[in-house]
Amino acid sequence: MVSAITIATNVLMLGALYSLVAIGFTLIFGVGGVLNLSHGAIITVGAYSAYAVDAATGSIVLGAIAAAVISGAFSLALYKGLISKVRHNPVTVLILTLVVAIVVEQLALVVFGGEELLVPQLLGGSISVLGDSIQANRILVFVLSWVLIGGLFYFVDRTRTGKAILATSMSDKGAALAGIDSEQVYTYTWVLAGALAGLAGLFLASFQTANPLMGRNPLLLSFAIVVLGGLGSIRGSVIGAYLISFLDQMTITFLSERLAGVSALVVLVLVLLVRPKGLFGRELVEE
Amino acid sequence: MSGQTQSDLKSWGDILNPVEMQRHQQVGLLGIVALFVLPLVIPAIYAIYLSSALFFATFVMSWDFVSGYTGEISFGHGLFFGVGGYTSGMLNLHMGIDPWIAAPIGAVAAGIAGLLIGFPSLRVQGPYFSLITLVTPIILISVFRFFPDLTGGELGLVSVGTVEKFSAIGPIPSPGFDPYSGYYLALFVFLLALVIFVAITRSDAGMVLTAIRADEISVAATGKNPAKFKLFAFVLSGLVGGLAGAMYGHSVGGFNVSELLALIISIEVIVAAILGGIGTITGAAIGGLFFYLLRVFMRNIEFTIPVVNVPVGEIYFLLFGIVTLGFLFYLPEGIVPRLVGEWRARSEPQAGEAVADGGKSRGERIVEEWTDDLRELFGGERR
Amino acid sequence: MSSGAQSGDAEPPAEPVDDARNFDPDDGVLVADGLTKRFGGLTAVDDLSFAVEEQEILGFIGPNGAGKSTTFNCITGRYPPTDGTVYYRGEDVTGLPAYEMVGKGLARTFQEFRPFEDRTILANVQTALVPDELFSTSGLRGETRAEAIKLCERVGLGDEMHRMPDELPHAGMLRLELARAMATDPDMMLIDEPFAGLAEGEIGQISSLLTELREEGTTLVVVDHNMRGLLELIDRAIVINFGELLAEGTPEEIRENPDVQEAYLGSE
Repeated sequence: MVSAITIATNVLMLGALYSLVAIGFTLIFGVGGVLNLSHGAIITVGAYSAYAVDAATGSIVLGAIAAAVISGAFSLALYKGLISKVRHNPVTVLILTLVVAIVVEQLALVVFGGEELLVPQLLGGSISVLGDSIQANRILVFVLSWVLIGGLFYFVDRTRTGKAILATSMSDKGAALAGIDSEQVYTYTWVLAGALAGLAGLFLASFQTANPLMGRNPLLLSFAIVVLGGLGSIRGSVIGAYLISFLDQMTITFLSERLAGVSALVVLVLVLLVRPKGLFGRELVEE
Repeated sequence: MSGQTQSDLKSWGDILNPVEMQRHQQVGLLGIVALFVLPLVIPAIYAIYLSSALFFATFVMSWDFVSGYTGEISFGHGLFFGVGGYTSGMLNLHMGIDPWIAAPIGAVAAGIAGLLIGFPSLRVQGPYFSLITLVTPIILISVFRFFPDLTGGELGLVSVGTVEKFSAIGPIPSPGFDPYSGYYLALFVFLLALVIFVAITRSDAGMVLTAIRADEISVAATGKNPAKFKLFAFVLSGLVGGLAGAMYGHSVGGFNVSELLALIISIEVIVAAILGGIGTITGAAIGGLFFYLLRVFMRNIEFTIPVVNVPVGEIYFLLFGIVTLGFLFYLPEGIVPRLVGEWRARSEPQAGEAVADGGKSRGERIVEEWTDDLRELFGGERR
Repeated sequence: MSSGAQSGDAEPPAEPVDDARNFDPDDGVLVADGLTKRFGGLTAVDDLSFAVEEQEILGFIGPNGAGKSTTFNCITGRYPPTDGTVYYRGEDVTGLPAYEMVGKGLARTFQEFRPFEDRTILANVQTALVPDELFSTSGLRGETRAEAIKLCERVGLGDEMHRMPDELPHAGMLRLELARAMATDPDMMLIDEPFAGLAEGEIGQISSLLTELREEGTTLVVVDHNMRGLLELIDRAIVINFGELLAEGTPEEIRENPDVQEAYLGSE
């Protein structure tokens, strides 16, 4: 029987991690009206970038920087090169991002092979908490994630760019009227979301492993989280991430390891049936 | 020019008389005859491929019947194939029920699944409903993995035991073991589905189904219950898809996730329908056959794409994705409607009736309306 | 009920309207008793009661926003009323969904025109003719089509029936609405604002058609926001404003009613 401490740690840490991924996902949606199916693939990009840089330089810190930078750049390229041209046709965007995701997976497979790769932890050793031993890395990931989340809230609340992003996510036209350059906002959002996902990828890989398909599960979970929390809401993403993380851990612990992720999907279906706009989603046009 | 009198009404003889049919219908009939005759001239292995293709085409038709007509786009039709197949397989495996009996039961189970999926479609907006259809099979797969002794988990029923194939009937060899017998079984299922779906979609119910997509309130205002028709479409689609899944498993195929339930199947069915032409049934049939055979061909060729060094076989789906994108841009109505349109234009230059969609095919309309719904959900403007 | 008594004038209405009037289910083909509809905080229809008599042509009049469409949406089943009862031929049909009301014999047209955009006029009418059955094959043999052609010609769309709805002018769209409503073989038809945007001649043609329908036994309720086109057509009129009954009587009586005149001040 797994200890309560371990479960709690997992919930707290994974919740924070999923938040990072979900926030990026929901921002891209809220700001640009795009459902980015390649978001999971960017996680993979981040993880492998860190791995590669670390393998080359021996420094995982550099690897972390690489994860953020390369993912952000990839995300930017994706937006500027492909998405911005077809933004107004959601179906094309869906298919395009899906294709990109598949391509990334295939490339990772080809370049790095299909085995699980070990990405070094950011911090070694373990700490004893209430009699249980927890990997220091997990605690660090948790702390770092929350630093990022906190930073995001501050960013969106206090800085001009952040506020612009928030305004645009609430209303394209309103923001335009206020003189906000939406193209700039989109660009920032995509880069930011990409960097966050990339870092999340590194964090994930550091206590699991890296493999080409690692982005799939987080993507599915993000879907559930973002729908539960409400498309476009940062607050919703964080709360949703913790709810889902909690439910998932409960399911894994008390039902079965094999049911990982299922609770998220069930929640997704229920939310769609009962209250599609989720906890904090914006009002949608009534049919 | 004005009204038709009673004597103008067509009798059944007139409708079904091949000589009276339009060109494209004659070609279709010829195709069916060819399908009957084919096994006499091809080697056994091709008969097996063709059997699988026929089952796949049946899957595609069942999808088109719902998504091409009511406009509710399902991203998880594999659910029905899987429920039908697995129910039948498990009934046989765990309870010893004869496949000939288990298969129809599987179909009924899938029909019930259709009903269950149909209800959300009444309450929930288009794209949200699509998301539900996407996720439900994934949940089911997880449930299967949770009960590996019952369902065989990842590997399918084969890891639990051997599911019987269909038994021989009198002098007719077993479709499970004789390729030609299996072929005719597949052909039978295919034709059954084709006839059912074509009959319904060309009849009054078909008009109502497409009208529901256009304006549900108007349909109600003309005295028809939209919910009834929508649910009917889902149930029938489930029944046929489930029957096909079950029959497939007990003959040429197997009972496992990757052939029935997996997301990839649901997506392939959609791609095939797009290629053939959404909202036509016949397009779905032809698209399904074509897609499956092409896929088999591509998986088997030895060609390796030079720069990337990846054999075509592994990334065939990626290639299909790109081709689909191309189709959505340049040939959104699909191959069959385009061909039919050209034939019509050539043989009847002075059409008495306007092309019944003012230039836009049903498939185009459906994709457009779904896209509009999506756009609206994303806070954008309807076109 | 007086017309929202703000001016405090003490002049009695010309046509006394009883506050506590109560209708029996058998008072007419269609009876509304205490019909009320609220949307959140807004009361669109407030305790409205009236009866429609067999084979009459009743005008249902009120300024824009008076609650006319809401009243009929409640009656025809587009949404249920918040309160009150609706009787059709003596039967309580309150809250029945639209397709069932049509089954009972009550058809309606849409003020905002709702044709099926993806098919021809003829096909539109065919679709309306199709029964509420999953397995009817009349379409395959062409019976429905023949009927549809007859109907199109009856409403004057014989030459246009192979066109698409978006090619039709205003009057044509109205005719299509009428054809689709007639396709359901109703005993009673509710025509929602037919004359808006029509030219004089067209109004005359539509009026003739409606009168013909009445001669054949159909009861009609025609909704409009003024009486311009209705005067010669209707037998009787009901006027509402702010969701409440304002006046009732013959067209002449209505026109002389000071409350009615006041309600329309500035809106003509």
